[in-house]
Amino acid sequence: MIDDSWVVIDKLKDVLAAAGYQVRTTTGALGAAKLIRGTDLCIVDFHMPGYDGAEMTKLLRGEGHADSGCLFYLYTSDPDVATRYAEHGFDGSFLRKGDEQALLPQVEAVFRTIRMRKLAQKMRDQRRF
Amino acid sequence: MTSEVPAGGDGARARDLSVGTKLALGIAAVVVALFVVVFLQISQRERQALVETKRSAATMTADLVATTLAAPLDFGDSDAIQVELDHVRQNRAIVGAVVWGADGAVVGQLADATPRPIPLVRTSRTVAGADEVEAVRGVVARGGKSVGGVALWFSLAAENAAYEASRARIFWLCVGLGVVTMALLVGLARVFIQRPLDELVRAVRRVERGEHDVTVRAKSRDEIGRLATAFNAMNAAITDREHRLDGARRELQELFDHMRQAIVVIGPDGKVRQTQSKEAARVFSEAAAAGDGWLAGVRAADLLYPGAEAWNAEVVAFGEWLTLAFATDPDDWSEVEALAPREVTLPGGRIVTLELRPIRDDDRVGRIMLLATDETDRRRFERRAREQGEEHARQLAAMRRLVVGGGQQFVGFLEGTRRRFATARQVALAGDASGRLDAAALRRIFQLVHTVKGEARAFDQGELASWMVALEERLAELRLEQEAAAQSDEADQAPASRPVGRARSEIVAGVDAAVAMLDGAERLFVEASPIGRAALEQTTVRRSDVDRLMKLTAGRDDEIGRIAVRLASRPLGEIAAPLVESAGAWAESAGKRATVEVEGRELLVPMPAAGVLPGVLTHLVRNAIAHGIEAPSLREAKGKPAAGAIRIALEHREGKLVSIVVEDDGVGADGPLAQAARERRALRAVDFEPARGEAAARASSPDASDLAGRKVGLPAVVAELATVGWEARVETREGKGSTFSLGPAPGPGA
Repeated sequence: MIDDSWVVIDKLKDVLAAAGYQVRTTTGALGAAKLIRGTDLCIVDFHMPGYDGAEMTKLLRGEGHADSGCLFYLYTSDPDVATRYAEHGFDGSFLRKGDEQALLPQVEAVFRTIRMRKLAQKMRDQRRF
Repeated sequence: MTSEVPAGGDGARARDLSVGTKLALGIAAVVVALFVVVFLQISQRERQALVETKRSAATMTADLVATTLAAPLDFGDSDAIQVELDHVRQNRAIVGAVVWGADGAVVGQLADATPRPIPLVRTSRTVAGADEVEAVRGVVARGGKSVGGVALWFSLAAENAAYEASRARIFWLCVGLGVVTMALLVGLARVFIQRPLDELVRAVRRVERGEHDVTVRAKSRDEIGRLATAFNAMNAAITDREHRLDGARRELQELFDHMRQAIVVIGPDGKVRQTQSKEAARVFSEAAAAGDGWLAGVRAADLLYPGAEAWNAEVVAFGEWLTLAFATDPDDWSEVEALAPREVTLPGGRIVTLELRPIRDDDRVGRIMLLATDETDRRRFERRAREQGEEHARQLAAMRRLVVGGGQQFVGFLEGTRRRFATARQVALAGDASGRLDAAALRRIFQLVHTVKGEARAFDQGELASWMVALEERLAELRLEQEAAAQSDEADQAPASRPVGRARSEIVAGVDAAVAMLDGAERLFVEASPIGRAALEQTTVRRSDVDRLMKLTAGRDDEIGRIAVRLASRPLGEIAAPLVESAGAWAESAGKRATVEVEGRELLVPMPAAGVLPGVLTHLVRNAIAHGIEAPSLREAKGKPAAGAIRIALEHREGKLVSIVVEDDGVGADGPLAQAARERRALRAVDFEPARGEAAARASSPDASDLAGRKVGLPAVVAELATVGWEARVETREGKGSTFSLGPAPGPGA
């Protein structure tokens, strides 16, 4: 999770960790690059001082993580920004920022999608489709 | 009769004509053909009869004439011949006659008649033609001598006229008979064939429209009757099957409607099929409202995620799951089903758990049944029960603290913690103009937070302890950024992209939040016990009175001064009690076992040391568990008991406290502790300051655990003791344990 507010991060980290996810957090670019390695999903705040979320994501993708399989999801309470996630270089978008209970099912949905795509590929390979 | 004529057609095509029409046309054709034959036959016979009569007459007349002309012809008497011919002429029927002699010459003709030639064929004959009968006779005289011949022509005009009249009568008779016959036959066909068929057709149409009480009367036992009987039997069978099918459908719908679950069936197009239970309309009420209570045709994604955007992560996941599910072999369903959404929260906070099952269609998934259970009430009840249980546990813990004399301790914890938060706030606000905090300030704040964390754990303040953990992590990040900023400043580069000036406000905000939690803990303590407020106030008042008395008697060595000191002191047992309770749990969380023994529980620890000792002892006990005590298996391998032993004791001489000892039987100490032990000196803050770059490593170290995080416990001990003029010394025995001795620091001259 990358967000300039550690209060937000702390709340969300507890909720996601309780659901069984391993969560690494940072409030700035300095720690982000190191934490991306081995990550499946990176949730990025959009409005941050210095970098906005799109620039942060572009930077992280450019630092050799483009093929890492990590998905970058925008996290915002602004529906207009959320709708244009692809323009900003994200793979998807989470809405209702600040509502930690609303984030958890969305994160679970993303991980299910990841596993579904792997299963579909496996079935195709085994010619079970 | 009915017939189906194509619209716009010029006439009826044969296959569109009704049976009645076809029968009527067929009957008409047959009757007409029959009566034409009859008419012709009768007509022909009538004419034959008429002609035969004339012929007979002509034969007789010709014979007679031939006889009477024998003598005139023999004698060649032309006049006699002519007389005979005139005589013949009286017969009006004779329209022509010619007599010839033996030489073949004409010897007489009929007067007033068209002369006739001698027939070519002169043998005796009587031949009927269309208009005349020709009678030819050879005349034979006496002795058999042929003397000539005679030919008579008889007119058939009268017979023909009679024939025509008769023919007309026959014609109309035939027509009349034909019409009657046709009418009779068509009528019979209509009665015995077409009407029963029409009745059957009407009955079939009624069955087609869904009517059940349809029977056809079988009026005969012929094929039509048997067809009617068969129809009645077939209709009864259909009606019975439909009733049973309706019954089964109603039972199934009743079963659906009485099930607790909302049931809908999803088709391969991702939309709800016709089938749904009553509960489904209630659970998915938003979608049902748009369809007048029916969900058929609604997208399943709109049922589960109404109003959500198409790119919503849950909508995307569900869409991909449906595609995968319908393309999967039913035998592999369990793999796919494991990736289905398990639960959704509908508008209004309704929580619905989901179960998706395949409906096979041959060897593929034809439809998917969604069973949704409204768990809202159950979750609400469970949450309430859990909250009540937690509340009860909190109250129980608060009561327990009071029962074991924790009132004093807890109040001491509250006061000490508030003091530490105030200090942290002060240090944070004392940053430079840009809000930056130097390493020393961060370190001090970290020590204070770390101490509060340990004490909060000891007093079951889990929420406050967790908040302190979060604050520690944030401080570690700030330390990292501060190091990076310092390095970039040194290299004369642009400052780090994020200013660390926000550190002050962040820390202050975090501390303020922690103070609010502390206030909440105090409120709970008071509310949980009927005497809580009284104990709190009593303790607070007593402590403030004692503090005031201490100030007033400061430096006095008389009885009042000594009494004041005793009043301000606290028994070691009271200070160490929370550690005795909590040490076992701390050790278990680290995969170890440990017990704390207190010697000299009743001995008094004077203030102000008694104020800082809870935090200090907490650090030392947690440090002993984290770094001193070994894992049970290692201990047993070394011949030690599985559980580590930590001893807290108060050493005194002549009634005066000398030191407080914290001793463990672990592995002993290394690093700066061992160095200090060798040098036989007190521990100093500088002993624990990290080298440049090591702070960053400590900050992100995976060893930075909750029990003894980031090697700040001992520095915090040194700092806390220093505030009351005490110091800490250590002795260590490799493989056998360490002993920390806490006591007043010697004066400047020592």
